Amino acid sequence: MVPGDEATLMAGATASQADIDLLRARLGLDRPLVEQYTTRLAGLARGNFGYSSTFRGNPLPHVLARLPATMLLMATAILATVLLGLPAGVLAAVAHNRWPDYLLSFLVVGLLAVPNFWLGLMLIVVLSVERGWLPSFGFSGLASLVMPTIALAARLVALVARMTRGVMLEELAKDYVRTAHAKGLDTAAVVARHVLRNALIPTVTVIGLQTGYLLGGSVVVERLFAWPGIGDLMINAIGARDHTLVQAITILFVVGFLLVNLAVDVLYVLINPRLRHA
Amino acid sequence: MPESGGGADLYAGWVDPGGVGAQTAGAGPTRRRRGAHMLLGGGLLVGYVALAALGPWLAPYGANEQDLLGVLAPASAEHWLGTDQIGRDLLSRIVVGARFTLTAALVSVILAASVGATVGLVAGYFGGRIDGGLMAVADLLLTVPNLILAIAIASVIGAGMTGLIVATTTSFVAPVARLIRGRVLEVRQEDFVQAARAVGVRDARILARHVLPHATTTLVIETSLLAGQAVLIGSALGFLGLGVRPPAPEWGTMLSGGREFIEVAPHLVVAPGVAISLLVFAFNVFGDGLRDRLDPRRHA
Amino acid sequence: MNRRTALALISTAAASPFTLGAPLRALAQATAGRTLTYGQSGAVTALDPAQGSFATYPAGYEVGYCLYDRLVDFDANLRFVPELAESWDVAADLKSIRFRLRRNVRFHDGTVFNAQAVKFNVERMIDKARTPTNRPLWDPVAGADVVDEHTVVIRTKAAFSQLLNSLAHGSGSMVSPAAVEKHGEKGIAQHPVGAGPYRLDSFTPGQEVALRAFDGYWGGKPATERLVFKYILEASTRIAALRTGSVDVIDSVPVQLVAGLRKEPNLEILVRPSLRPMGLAINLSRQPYDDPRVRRALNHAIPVETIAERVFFGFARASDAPLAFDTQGYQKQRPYEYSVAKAKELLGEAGFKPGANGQLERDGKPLKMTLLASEGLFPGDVNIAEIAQRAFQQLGIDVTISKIERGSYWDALRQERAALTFDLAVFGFNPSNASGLYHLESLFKSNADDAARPTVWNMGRYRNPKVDELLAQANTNPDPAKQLAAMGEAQRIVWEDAPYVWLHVNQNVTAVRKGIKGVELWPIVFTIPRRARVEA
Repeated sequence: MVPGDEATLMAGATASQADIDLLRARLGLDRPLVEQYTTRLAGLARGNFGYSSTFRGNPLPHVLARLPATMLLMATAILATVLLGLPAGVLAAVAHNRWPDYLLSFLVVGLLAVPNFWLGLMLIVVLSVERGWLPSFGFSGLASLVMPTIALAARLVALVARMTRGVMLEELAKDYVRTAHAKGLDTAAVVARHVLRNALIPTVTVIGLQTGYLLGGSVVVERLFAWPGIGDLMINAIGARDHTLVQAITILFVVGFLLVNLAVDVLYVLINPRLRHA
Repeated sequence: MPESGGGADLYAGWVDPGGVGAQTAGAGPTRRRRGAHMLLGGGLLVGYVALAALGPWLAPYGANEQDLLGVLAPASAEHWLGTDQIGRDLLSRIVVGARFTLTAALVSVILAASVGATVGLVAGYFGGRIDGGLMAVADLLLTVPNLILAIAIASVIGAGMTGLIVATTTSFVAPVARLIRGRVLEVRQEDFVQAARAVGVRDARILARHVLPHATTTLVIETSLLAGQAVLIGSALGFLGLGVRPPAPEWGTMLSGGREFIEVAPHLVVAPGVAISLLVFAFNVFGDGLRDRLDPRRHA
Repeated sequence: MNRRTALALISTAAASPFTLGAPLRALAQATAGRTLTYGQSGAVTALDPAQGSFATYPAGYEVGYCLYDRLVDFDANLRFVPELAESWDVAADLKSIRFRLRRNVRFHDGTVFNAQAVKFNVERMIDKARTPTNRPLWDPVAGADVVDEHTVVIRTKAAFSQLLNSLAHGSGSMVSPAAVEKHGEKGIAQHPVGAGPYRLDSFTPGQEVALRAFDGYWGGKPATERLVFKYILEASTRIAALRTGSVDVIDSVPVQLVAGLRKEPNLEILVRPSLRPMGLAINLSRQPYDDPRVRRALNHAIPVETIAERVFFGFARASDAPLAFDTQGYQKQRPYEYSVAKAKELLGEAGFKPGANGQLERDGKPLKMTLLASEGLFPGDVNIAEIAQRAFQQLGIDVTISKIERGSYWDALRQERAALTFDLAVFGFNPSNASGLYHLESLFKSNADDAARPTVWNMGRYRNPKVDELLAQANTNPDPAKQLAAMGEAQRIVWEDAPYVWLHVNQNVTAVRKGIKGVELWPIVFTIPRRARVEA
């Protein structure tokens, strides 16, 4: 028997073997493995994930109660990605081979190399410990979103900025832009009217490709900032050897992953008319 | 569906829906600058490999040598990066620790590349049910975000180098397999493969002689790009307490252990973070350079 | 609305969470006020004294002490003071105690607290099926007899000098029988109803517990209207939360930060030596650790004074007895002097010689050791293991550290003998009922069956009939002086037998925002806010 089975954990530190056996029988852990497995699968189908030692029962309601916090963090990270990455990429393209472009490429390379938990730690040191500007843990209003969002979104911002810059340069070099210039339109107008629309596609692509990163990264970032989402819960569950809970959260992450991918596919078709008939 | 979770860089798993991605290289840095990047990344990597190989001889102190009378000391002439909470020389721990991070990253990437490539080759070449079965498994793995998969696996296997490597490897196998399968499907239609088949060359031989070489470039590029990702995943697992056994100086674990001392000894957190970031940077830049050099489709 | 106004409005709205945060917070505190938030290092998952005594330690207990009253309370110095019992008489044979109960006490659900309720709770604690944990505290208890509405006698099976300790312990909390009836034996853990100064407001297991002052509390309504317990695992996050005012109290402050925090004008630091001696439990069922010379050698090999002074910055003290300095019954022993030479000499006597590569061996077999370490269960646990590893390596022992997650650490320690995976294990016992005798019995009394799981915490399978006899004497002798003498002698024998590598006793550190009064830091690790007031 693996140390840390549910009954042992539930019985607590000073329980005797007899007490543990009693509990094990009560939880059905003494049944044959095959029977336990089928019971568990049948339970899953009904939304019952089994016995979680943390919540003393089916963990699903508790996991779902924490889901909004995780979704909020993801949403703000995606929002930050669009609001920061897109303009940065446009700026770099417009200022091609001038200092904003260099600064951006430097930042991109840096942000892609820095682990998100370390970035988060450095933010805590600078913004929270030394200056006391931002709350560094938990959820307590908008301000508490800032640091976790930056830590989580940094990588995506970098990728979107890089992609946008590439696509913009591509588009800016095309004939219709030159024509527009020749007609006397200024760069800003051209960019706003024609080019930006095409630049949205890479943004969606990056977010789609990086959904896995977003979900995985959220575990680490939530842990660091004690963000009350399901990622933080997952690490608690591992420490408590609550495999039922780990399993439930993993399944939830998978479902979320599939849903986001579906959403991205739909968005593609909406943004890119060329795909509609494909 | 966009391939997700694969690749350190988005080009690696890049599915090109609107025909915009493949051309972006033309707008990128000039070829000479790319060469310089590769040189920089390669140079850094050589440095890291040297640290990994010679660490214990290069380090000024033993990685586990303790001076309980001099804990949390700031940088000084004796200890260039200061000491940690039980008086161990931080520089020595970082230097010696290179081998853990580098070994874990390289071993898991190479394992993932071998397993993934084999699966991809077999699936793509034989097609049919074999392909269907293998890709079903790969797709199942792909539905779990890679860090989540790694965390789940590491939590079952338990803390340690093995858990770390298995976790990282597993999370990479599926994207590699899918990628290679794609290449194989392209190559399979080529005349020389069809010809070889027609004259009755054995499958194993065709795979090894004709198909594999055409997938190698893709594999090498993917591998080099995944390496940076492996470093990040490995150190995240260490940071979450799922890394190596103490007292091994693994950087993610050191970072996590130093967090409590962040106010009195920020060097405990800064130094391992810089070591990780530089290594990831080196892999990324090297991988990008390699891709630009090797992948003919990406030359403008 | 013109464009500029709109812009101004938007930017104000966007900035408000940042700029208005501080004044708003101040306003909230002044009016709704009297909310005290405690950032706890542990998570609370259940609030039933029967279910693992609030399941998590120490966080669950800290909430439990605010929700529930017991017959007898500890004051901040762990002396017994009346709570739901106004007075009591201990029988001369130490086999029963007669309690006179406080009148006009009601549970949070309005039901009356009386002798029947005490009987219900005592029987619930005795019942193994309902209360699988804390058995050593309750197994000696035989039952409770109702004499009249306000008088109850609690009986023990044999003479038991620690009955008051059990009743004052968190598991002695009085739960409303009606609430158990209503919510069920399991449900009470999420819907706790006690007779304490605070009642439950909201409970998110593993995250947050909010309590509200109980209007009908017999001792008068408490000064603080709301108590909020938030789980914040990381010490650095807890500290940042305290500084930014998100919480008012935090526990487990890392000692290296105390000097800096003391200089901050808004904070107050509470320091208290704990009752938990840290050590490395030795598995005596394995060779060569069955040899007392080897165990003493290990005790000579670790620079305990230096660890206490440098690694814990003086917020720890090297042990000189199996019990902590402030535990009742503690008796000082002669410390094992730090001497590598002495350690090597003892190992030599035990037959170990350095082999080819400097590794110690006996009969050609190298001396190997697996050292089990927890992470985050005890202050600096991983570092302690690393220091010990280094110290033993210098004697020529091949040491491997095996790190176990928090959740399964206790279980890894308490295996059947054949399934034990360690030679030494980082361990510290906190006598949460404040009894030194309970401490000695839990750790050093012979197990009922050494092959099975340990009865309590004697996982090293230490067995000395003389110690057993002395502990029995201390439990049954009605003369307190004789109890102490027996405990003292038992400590002397245990100290010399060295079933542990004795290390140090930590001090607990809690930090409180200035203006918060009455937060108690008990030597048994708990930070108790039940009598706290917010004054500014």
